[in-house]
Amino acid sequence: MKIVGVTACPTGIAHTYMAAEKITEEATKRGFEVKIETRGSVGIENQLTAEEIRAADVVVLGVGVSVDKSMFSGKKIVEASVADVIHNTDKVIDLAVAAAADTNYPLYEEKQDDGNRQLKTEADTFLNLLKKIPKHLMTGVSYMIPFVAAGGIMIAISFMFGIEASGVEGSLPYYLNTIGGIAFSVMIPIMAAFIAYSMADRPGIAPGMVAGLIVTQLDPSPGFLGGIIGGLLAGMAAWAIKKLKMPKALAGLMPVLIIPLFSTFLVGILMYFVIAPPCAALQAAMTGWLTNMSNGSGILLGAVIGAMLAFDLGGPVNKVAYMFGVGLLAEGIFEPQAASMASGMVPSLAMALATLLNKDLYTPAERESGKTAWLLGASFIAEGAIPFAGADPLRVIPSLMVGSAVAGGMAMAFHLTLQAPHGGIFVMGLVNKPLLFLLCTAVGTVISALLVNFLKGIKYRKGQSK
Amino acid sequence: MIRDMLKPEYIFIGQKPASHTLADALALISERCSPYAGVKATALTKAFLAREKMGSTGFGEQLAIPHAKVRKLKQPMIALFRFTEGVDWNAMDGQPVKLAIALVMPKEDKDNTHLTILAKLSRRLVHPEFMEALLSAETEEALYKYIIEEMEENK
Repeated sequence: MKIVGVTACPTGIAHTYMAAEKITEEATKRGFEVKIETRGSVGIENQLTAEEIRAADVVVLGVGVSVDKSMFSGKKIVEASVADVIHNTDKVIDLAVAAAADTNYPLYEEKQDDGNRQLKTEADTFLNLLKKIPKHLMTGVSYMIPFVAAGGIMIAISFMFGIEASGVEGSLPYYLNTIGGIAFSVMIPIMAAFIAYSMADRPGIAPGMVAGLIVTQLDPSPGFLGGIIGGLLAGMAAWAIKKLKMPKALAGLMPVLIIPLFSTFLVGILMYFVIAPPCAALQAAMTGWLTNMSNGSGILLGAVIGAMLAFDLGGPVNKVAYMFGVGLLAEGIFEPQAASMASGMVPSLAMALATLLNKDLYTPAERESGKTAWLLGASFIAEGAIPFAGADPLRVIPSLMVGSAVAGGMAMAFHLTLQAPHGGIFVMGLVNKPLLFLLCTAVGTVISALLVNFLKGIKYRKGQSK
Repeated sequence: MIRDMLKPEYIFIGQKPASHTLADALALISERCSPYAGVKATALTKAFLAREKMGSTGFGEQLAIPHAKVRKLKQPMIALFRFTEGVDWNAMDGQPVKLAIALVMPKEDKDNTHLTILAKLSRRLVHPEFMEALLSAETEEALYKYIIEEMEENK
């Protein structure tokens, strides 16, 4: 016989626990399996899982307040007051035994009009872990945002001194650029670490951080998309290893040794052998493809450069497009670089504009990131869009690709040229037609911003009408 | 830690309220706790009574667990009172109360450790041998020592 139950009282300080202890004691005395969840002021403890509820013969509720019973749908419930549970424990257990044996005992059914189903406590299953991926990404991104802001702004300021200024060792622009670059370099490790943290709590941090660091050290780097994958893999690994049943003697070593050791090694190996090769292959294929394309239509080439830059915002595809433009500078071909710069400014600017156009679609933290994204976008730092793309890749990335492609295509159509490898609006003076250049970026920005808000709006309205 | 919340001087045995009523018992408890909690006795009494109105904390078996939640409390405290004569607490089993474990807790809930300690104490209270020991200990020191030992054991 298996009994599960919940105890809760109005203040949740003493009686909740007294009742739980009494049921457990009485049921154990009779040789039953028992698990009682306590909902007190400390929060929910000893939480029942869906599996345990399914396996139970009967549910005992010792409650003095109304509790959400939706998780007990289809079970036999014996409900008693907290006082009865404490003082007449044997009678309550007798009732539970009778209910379990009685084939005609009514099964609990959730009322159809019970609108608040959101409150259901979710079991700690792998499926639920995956279902909450959007939440995990959000968590990862929220910890990453300060690094993007600090690093991006310092790099942008260093450009203001002139695009070559940071090359002078010991100068202020040099330090701004260097410190900013270091802040940028931990952006992806931090995101990966906290994605994994969201999934597996503290044990996720070590494998997540290491997976993110591997991403930054691989050549070609899998970029922020690689960081997301690494974080998710690390979270899953830590979550799964945490679930393993260990003999008592080893249980103490789990959090400090076993989980970090095995999850980090496992995820690290996966990064090198499963994530890295396709990235390298993709980069090689893209390079070949782009080179072939440069013989064809200029407008299409510009559009492809733009779309590639926006696809992974600093990842392998982005790097191919960027290096393609910079590489051609050496050959005296300046048009693709102009297309690259005009379109590369779009992602950050578009997200900055999007947060301004419809505040409801963004969290307060995202709206703040939107403000710094103006400066990052203007400085040709596409990473300003990563917090948005990381939190909602499926809507954000396609929107950014469309706007960037338009900007890149337009730049080629206008035969814009640029000879500087980096710098955004700070190298405007080097563009042959600065006003048209700004127009290209502005059009792309507006298109991306409207598109991303449209896509997010669909999801938002769905959530509202529920 | 239990030792921060429950101190030897918080144990009061042989207590005699002005009358057998709940109000007088709570007034006595408040007066004793007041200097340690740093809260006025009248405020404590009011807080204890407010909780009793939501439902008696006299849980039967001669035991009551009055709680008071007060603002700006420095340290949550657990105080133990044994009465020479039973107090009429409107207990659930109608029996007079001989032992009161008074909880004085902060209204602003910053830290949950005291709740965890109380949860543990509550679990011990349903065991007859624990209650028996609390009711029969001869001196305040013995009573204190027994509770601390029970609470610090990993049960």
